[in-house]
Amino acid sequence: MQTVPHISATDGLELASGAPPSTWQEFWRGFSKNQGAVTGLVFMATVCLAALFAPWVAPYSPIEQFRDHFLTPPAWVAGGSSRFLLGTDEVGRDILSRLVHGARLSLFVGLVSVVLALIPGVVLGLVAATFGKMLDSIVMRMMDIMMALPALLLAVAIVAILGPGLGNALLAIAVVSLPAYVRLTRASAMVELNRDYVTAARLSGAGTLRIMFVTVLPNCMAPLIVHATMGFSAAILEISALGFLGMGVQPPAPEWGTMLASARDYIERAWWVVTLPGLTILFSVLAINLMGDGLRDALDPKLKTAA
Amino acid sequence: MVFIHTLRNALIPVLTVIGLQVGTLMGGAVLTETIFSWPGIGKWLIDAIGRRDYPVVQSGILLVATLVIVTNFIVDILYGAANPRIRHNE
Repeated sequence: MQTVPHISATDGLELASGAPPSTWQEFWRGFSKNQGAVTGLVFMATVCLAALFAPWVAPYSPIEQFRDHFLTPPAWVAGGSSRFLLGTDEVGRDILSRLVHGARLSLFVGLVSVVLALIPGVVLGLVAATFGKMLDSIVMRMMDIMMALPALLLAVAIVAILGPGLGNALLAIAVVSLPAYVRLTRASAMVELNRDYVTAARLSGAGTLRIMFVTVLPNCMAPLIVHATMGFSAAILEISALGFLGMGVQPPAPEWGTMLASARDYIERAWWVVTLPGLTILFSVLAINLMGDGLRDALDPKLKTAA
Repeated sequence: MVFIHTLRNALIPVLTVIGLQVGTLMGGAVLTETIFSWPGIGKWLIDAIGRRDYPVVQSGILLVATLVIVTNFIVDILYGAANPRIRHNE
């Protein structure tokens, strides 16, 4: 809320050339003002790269066991060896390799569960907003029922019905995060549907489907993108929680939550086996949330005061 | 003064958050109880899933859902107590 517009050198240049800044430039200027968001972005880019090139980045295979190196401390602690930078776990697997390979799983889970929740969520929300009364009530009451169950508990229940495993855990997380997307899309679509440009589009003969997806949807995207970013970190937390309860990714696979769960018995003898996966989860989720905050400030200034 | 007039109006968002937090807490209890093996609803549910004891899973989840709904209903009623303008008059 600055009363005096701040004009920097680049602003002046752009004004002189007369071309308005492109959408990306404008977005980037808003985003890069937020230092936390840029830090988050850099951290997540590093994690993404590590995940993409996991077999080359990780020093060992995530399931290779070194029989003579059980619970080796990290390299900087007394008794640690430089062969295992972050130490080894209870069956002699290199923790750094497991964390790097685990990033693959976690990012995959985040991406897929957000997409699986976003697409049906957007469609249902638009349908509820466009086709008034009856359909709206049906969809929204269904979503209310889903929201009455605590997220983690619903996910646990779904996994209990379908059986443990990566696919079912993914599905459970997607189902759990669905209502938020539906409500968000419905709320902003209902506002947009009353705008003049929608009436104009309707008058010039646009069909219902075109109005829903081409006219209205792009204008509802800002809060959805922000929520999807936050949903990404929530999904990582949830898959870790499910893995921790033994209902997500099954033990031999290197998943952060599963690593936490299997290392729980060694918490007093070997702190690094528990602390390092925990810190990895903490920093990834924190980085994504900071990024989400930056996205919100850049894309949707109205939301800045809301939360 | 402060407690009667200000607190009343400041209480409404706090009430909303309390209502929403109950759900999160019940979900968190599942993890906490499993870690420390406390005998609560969360541990009971996880053990029941491990035993494939579906009636227990169903009733436990129904119980938690009911608890969340009732809490939020009470919160809705308390809105009226905190701010008489919110009361729905027929």
